[in-house]
Order: sequence, then structure tokens, then C-alpha cells
Amino acid sequence: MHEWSLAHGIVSSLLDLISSGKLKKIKYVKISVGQLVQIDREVLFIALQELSRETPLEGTVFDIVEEETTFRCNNCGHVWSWREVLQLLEREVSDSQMKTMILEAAHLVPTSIFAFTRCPNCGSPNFEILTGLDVKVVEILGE
Amino acid sequence: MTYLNIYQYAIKHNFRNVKHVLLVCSCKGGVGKTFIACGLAKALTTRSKVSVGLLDLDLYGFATHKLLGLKDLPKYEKIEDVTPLKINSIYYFTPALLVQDRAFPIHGKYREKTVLDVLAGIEWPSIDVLIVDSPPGIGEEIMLLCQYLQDKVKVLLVATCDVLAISIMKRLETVLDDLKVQKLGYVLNMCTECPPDIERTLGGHVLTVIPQLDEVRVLIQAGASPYVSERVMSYFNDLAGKITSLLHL
Repeated sequence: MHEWSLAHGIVSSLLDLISSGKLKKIKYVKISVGQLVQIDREVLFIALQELSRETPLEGTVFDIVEEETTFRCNNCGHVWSWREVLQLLEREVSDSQMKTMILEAAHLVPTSIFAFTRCPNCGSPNFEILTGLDVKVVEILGE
Repeated sequence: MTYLNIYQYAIKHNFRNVKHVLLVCSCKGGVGKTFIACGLAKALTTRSKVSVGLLDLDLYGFATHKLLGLKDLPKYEKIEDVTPLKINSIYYFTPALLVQDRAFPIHGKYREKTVLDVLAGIEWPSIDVLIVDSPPGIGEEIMLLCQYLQDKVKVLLVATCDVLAISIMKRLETVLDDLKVQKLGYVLNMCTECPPDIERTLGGHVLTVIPQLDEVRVLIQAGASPYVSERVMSYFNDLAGKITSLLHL
């Protein structure tokens, strides 16, 4: 998801917590972003600040942390990381336009990666994303 | 931990300028949903002068780009503002823009997330109708659209006119009734001989009956768009007129 769409979703759902009376004030929000989503954390932070302005969220501290993306093959059990996927792309995809397209596709729809990668050990397309697929609000401190 | 549904707000935000979401669906594959969705998009744009979007949500079998005759699909090189492409006056998004002509082998457990990412990732401009081409059956695509955009969703049911297809279609209709979305009616496609009581069976909601048109197969096999045929478009122009009337456009 794009940074601004994401920020809009996060801010609106936090404001919903306040308007529904579940919290009076939100002081701190921790957001975990999976590497695969390739979120520009600075842009997301600016978007969150901007959309919080002149709302009950003004002054809330947003903490954005990165979660490593890992994959596991359902065929051979091999586990590999997003860093290895990037190294493979660098080595095996010579067309720079194609490389950009793959990364942009994963940014918008992270599961697009299933169309472009295989298990580096056995070549199977049957794998799962163990960690780092989502953007999640993992902690909210308020009163 | 409080569960926050980030998607619901992002989706509502992205669809805020879309008046109607027209979901083209059927219970069976191969009845021509994609053919109907693309033809209707063309006719609404060219004949009825309605502003139209087309969203291909058939993740495994996306083919709208083929029927629209798009030879070289543009690539998203930098997704800055995440708006759909504009092709021949139709705002358009297909998974093919992400993965080109590759297979998209996503596990079932990732399907919901994939649909949500597409819905929450694309910001649609101000349009009258967004036509959604869905895969066969009652899956995540239909459920999620009805869940998040219930007030905008209208359904166009596509079936062939044989008894088996109709009986399966009636099952889908009961679910759509329970989802409380508005049905605009049926399009019967590739009809050779309609059962005599078909209008009654379908509650009088048949909008258009399209016969088996040989030129559709010939044009598609030649790699061309079937909508270059005036005869083909005459059926879609008729359907577009009825849709604009039903939606008060």
C-alpha cells in the first residue's frame, strides 16, 4: 500500500478509537512495517504527522520499526530472507526496468512477489511468507 | 492488542469519488464475465458518455487486457500517486500491470490480503461507474467488496442460458440477497436456445441476451479485440442504455 493511503488508514482507525470512547488520548503508536512492503518510513512518518494535525492525534508519537521479511518453502523447508531475494534479483535480472517493476509491484501489492520468485534451493513456487508481509499497528499507549 | 482495520478506511478513502461499483459476477467459469465487463465499459464510455473505470479482480485468470486488445501493457515504473491508468477514456487497473503475463501463484491464505491491497492501493478518480470483473464463484473478491463498499455495489449477473448454469446462478443470487446488495439483472451470454420459461425463472430481470457470436472467437484468436465488430457492440450499446437508466446516469 502507498505511504499516504496507509497513513490515512492508520490515522482514521486511531481517531475511531477516540471517537468510539475506547481511549481518550493516544500518546504513542508503534507501527511495524515488513521489508517486503518497502515503505519509505520517512514519507510515512511525514504523512502521519500531516494527517494528525489539528486532530486529537496531534502530538502523538509515531514509532515506525522495520520487520525482516522471511520466506519458507513448503516443498523443501528452506528458509530465506528478503535480502537474499534482492541479491538474486540483482544477479539474475539484467533489465533494470524489470527490476524496478518487480519492486514497485511488491510495494503496491506485496504478494506480487509470488509471480517473480521461487525457492532459491529447489525452485518451487510453493512457499510462504513467514514474517514481514504486513504493515501493522503493534502497540498503542493512551489513556 | 487492539486490532485496527487499516484497510477499511483506506478503501473507503480510495473509492470516495466512485458513484457506483458494478460487480460483474457468476457462479461458473467460462460464461463470459470478462467479455461482458470489457464490452460494457467500452459501450458506456463511447455511446453513453459515462465516466467509467474497469478493475480486473480475477487474480488467477486476469484477461481484460487481452480482450481490450492491449498489446504492450504499460509498466508501473514508479508508483507515485497510485492512480489507475487511463486507456481509451477508461480508467483501468489489472494485476497484469503488476506481474505482466506471468502466473500469479498465490496461496489461498494470501488471497484476501492481495484483494485488500489492490482495493486499498489504488485511488480511483471521480467516475460514474467502476466495473469490476470478478473470478467465478463467491469468493473473497465479492465478499470484501460487499463488506467495504456495500452502499456502492450493484451486481450484474452473467450466465449462459442452459438449465445447469441458471440453477447454479440462483444459488449465488441467494447469497447476494443476504449480503444486501442491489442486483441490476442478468446478462445471458452465448445463447443458442433459451429455455421458454427463462424470463420467469429469473424473475423478469434479463437485461440482454447475447447469442453465440462467431466473430468474437475469430477476432480473439487473431489477437484482436472483439469490440471492433459493430454487431458485437450493438448488444453492449443496448445493455449500456439499460444500465445507465437503472443507475439514473
